[in-house]
Amino acid sequence: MSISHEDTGNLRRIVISGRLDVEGTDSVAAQLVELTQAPKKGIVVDLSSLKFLASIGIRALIESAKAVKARGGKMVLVAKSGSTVMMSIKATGVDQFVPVFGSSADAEKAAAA
Amino acid sequence: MDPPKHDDVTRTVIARPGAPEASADDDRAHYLVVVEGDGAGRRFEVGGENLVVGRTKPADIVVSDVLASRNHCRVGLVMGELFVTDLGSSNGTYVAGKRINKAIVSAGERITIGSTVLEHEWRSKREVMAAQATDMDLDRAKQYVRSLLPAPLESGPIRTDWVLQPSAKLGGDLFGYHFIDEKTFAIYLLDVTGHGTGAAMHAVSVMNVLRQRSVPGVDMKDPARAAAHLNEMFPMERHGGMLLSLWYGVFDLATRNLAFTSAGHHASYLVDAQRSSSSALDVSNVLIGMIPGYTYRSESAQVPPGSTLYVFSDGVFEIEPAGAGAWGLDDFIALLTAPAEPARRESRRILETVVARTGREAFEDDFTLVATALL
Repeated sequence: MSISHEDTGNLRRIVISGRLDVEGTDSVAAQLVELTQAPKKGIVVDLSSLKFLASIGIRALIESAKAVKARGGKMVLVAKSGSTVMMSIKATGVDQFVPVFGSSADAEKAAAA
Repeated sequence: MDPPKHDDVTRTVIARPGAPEASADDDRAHYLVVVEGDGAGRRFEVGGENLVVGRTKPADIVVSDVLASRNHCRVGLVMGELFVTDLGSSNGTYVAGKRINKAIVSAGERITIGSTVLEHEWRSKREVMAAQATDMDLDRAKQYVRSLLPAPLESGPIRTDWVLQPSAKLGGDLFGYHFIDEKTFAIYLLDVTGHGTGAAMHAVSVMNVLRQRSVPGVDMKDPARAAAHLNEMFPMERHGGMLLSLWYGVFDLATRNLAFTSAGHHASYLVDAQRSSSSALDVSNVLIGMIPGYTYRSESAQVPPGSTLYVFSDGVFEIEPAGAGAWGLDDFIALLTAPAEPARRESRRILETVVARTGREAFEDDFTLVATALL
């Protein structure tokens, strides 16, 4: 499981890959929350190469999205439709709070808007 | 600020919340918890003796707050109610935002002293002790969770059979069921985000609300209303970022109507008596604690006699098999319509089949399933 990021202008793109489950998730979740604190307008969290999203990951996504919203930014997610990760996002209602896109191009466009 | 009025006192007496049926296992005590200011998280039990709150010793509750007086106010119990009396402080004592000389503090209300806020909690001593012992052995927490689970129902029109196998790290699953009245049966399962004793104890707090058959101002027969009530009580911002998923159903034995809601939880499944098909009981709502003021929706289903309701946590299908192959929700659902085995309890049949199919003896998450026959 790994987390990386790159900044382009006013946009930060964070990629989490592997299996966001119990072992090691706490540290990745904490890193995610920290990375989303950057004073960027748009934050894209790309989960399309993530195999599994445990509940602690859901919590980190919500905490991050709330913090980004609170400072007037916009956070969006990228997830593959039909994947287990997308299933978790829908079942928990995360998609009702954070916009989710199938492609990173669409996500970046929305985050920059 | 308004001067204190005597009628404030009488008003709050009536508003004493919770008002549960007396039960033998009710061991609740009054606590003041520092929720804002220096030493947030500290908890003081208010018992027979009055306690003085002030800036320095010998006050019983010392708050390091420049706006607090040396002897700021006194708290104590009168006829089972928590009373606070201002001791002539310079900056005043506030209850629920109003400056007072003397007032009753209902459970959930807050006392403000300078920039320090104390919340009145009326909670189970056992629960508080469990929550405080952060280094508590996980095995003891597991035993505690287990002690709260209801006995299987083995006679009557509703039969239950369940399994809750906690993971090594304890996953925050809990469930319960009870008759709200003679003709109404409530069942619920919840899963707190994260692991460990913190998640488990949060689940316990939520379950203690659901266990009450009557909650003032909340119709517990209305699943959407019950979910909204929990959402108001347990926002993530005030509970260490913890969120929870909940499936809550209310079955009317007379009309055979099952009203249900799902708050960020996957569907429960209803399997007919012939075990020929299963139907998903799903509603799309967000997790409890995520969005303040969220309007939860519920649905309902007509239940044919002899059906079985399966309510479960994601730990039963989010399992990575030990060897090759895959295990997911579809595999699990297919298992529900497989023939029952008279030699094994239904929960055993399912657990043992999942163990065999995934090759896993121990799971990463709690494995929780409640099978309820609605005869």
